[in-house]
Amino acid sequence: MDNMVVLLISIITLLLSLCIYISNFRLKRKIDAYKFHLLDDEVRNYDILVIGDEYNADKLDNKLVYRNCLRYRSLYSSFLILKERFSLLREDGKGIVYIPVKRKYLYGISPIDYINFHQITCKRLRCNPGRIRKRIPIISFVTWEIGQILTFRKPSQSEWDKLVDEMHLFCNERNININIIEL
Amino acid sequence: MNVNHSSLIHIGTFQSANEPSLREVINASFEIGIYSFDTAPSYKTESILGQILAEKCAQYKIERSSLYISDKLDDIQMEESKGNIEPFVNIALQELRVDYIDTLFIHWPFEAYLFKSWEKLGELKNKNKIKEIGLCNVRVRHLKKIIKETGIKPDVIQIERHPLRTCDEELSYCRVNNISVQAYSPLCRMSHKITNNQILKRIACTYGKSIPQIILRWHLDTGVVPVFTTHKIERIKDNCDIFDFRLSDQDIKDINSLNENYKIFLESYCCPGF
Repeated sequence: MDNMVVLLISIITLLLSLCIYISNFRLKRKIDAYKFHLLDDEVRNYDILVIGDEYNADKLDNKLVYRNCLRYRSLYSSFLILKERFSLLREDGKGIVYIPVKRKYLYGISPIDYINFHQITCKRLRCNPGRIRKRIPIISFVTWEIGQILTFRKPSQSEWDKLVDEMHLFCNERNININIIEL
Repeated sequence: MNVNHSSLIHIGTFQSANEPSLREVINASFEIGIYSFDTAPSYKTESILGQILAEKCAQYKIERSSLYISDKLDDIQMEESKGNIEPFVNIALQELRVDYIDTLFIHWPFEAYLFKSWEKLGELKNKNKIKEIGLCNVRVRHLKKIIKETGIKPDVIQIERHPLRTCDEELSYCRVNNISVQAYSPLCRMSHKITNNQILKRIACTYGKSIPQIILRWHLDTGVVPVFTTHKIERIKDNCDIFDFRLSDQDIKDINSLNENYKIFLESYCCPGF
């Protein structure tokens, strides 16, 4: 009987470890998919950048579109990514950036995002992901997703407007058209 | 020894941290009379470059005044020192084994600590630790802002420039304000858009030169100093064989028409908030 229990626990532990390993592996691939490879990613001068929460961009066909969308991504995180990717947009003032976000996600940064941020951005945010987080991102990712799901408090109008104004100012200075879409 | 064309063409050391390879490149440069080199802390070539240059200068009896060395201040240095960059400049002087640096650039115009770092560079120029101060990867709006805020004009800028990105606005502004321009990635890393381009092929055929030679000549004929990096000795010799011809105005115009604002080194990626 005891042997059966030990065997059962061993099998469950093994299966659980396997699940975590596979999930971690898939997550690392997902993180890599969001990474920008400067010398390998050759496309430039996009017509449209879509940076934010998950968004159906089917209506944007016939244009050159760069998509960087992640479930539960906040407005702030989208802004940080915009600051790193806006040079992908065409420079003649005809390009446009779409920022699709849910109002309740104002701040907060997914581990998928901060692992890919510029070192100076990470330094200033004090979110330098340690080696463990880089090797086993599943731990911080699951924690973060649970946190986002359990977020019920919406930010105040003034908090929201402040960040939106900052984003518009940033874009105006660089001749970028921006459209923040509330999902 | 050939005529010294040092001031007209520079050798970069980006992605050149392999010592034997860099040694061969510098050797070949000295043999054809090119004594201008570009480095940066992030290239991890300062120390190797300093060591090899010291040996070569002794071997070829080249005075320090005939050498041109440009170095850079990286973002992390500006950030860590909060703009008090003098200790990092002293480290660079030690690594390069020189008493002064010909041109010291700010590598990327990160806004935090940019003005303070720039003012410090101005002070170091007055102390003769630096002959010229410069900015890399800037647009006209950065130049206007930094001159307005600090009153210190750069002596030189170094930008990504090639036929697919002709930087007309920057060149025009610098011409009016007496600022020299250097171009890195002057050949657009010989992307297929360059090697397959019919206009460049036609012009190359006309002059009996290669496409890289035509493009490097185009830089010179438009008043820009190209900074190219290579690990192949034969390319140094080929790329420097550009002083026996000049492009016609029409050919320059035709090359300028290839502009599509194509940037390899995405500015916002390298400098968030650019």
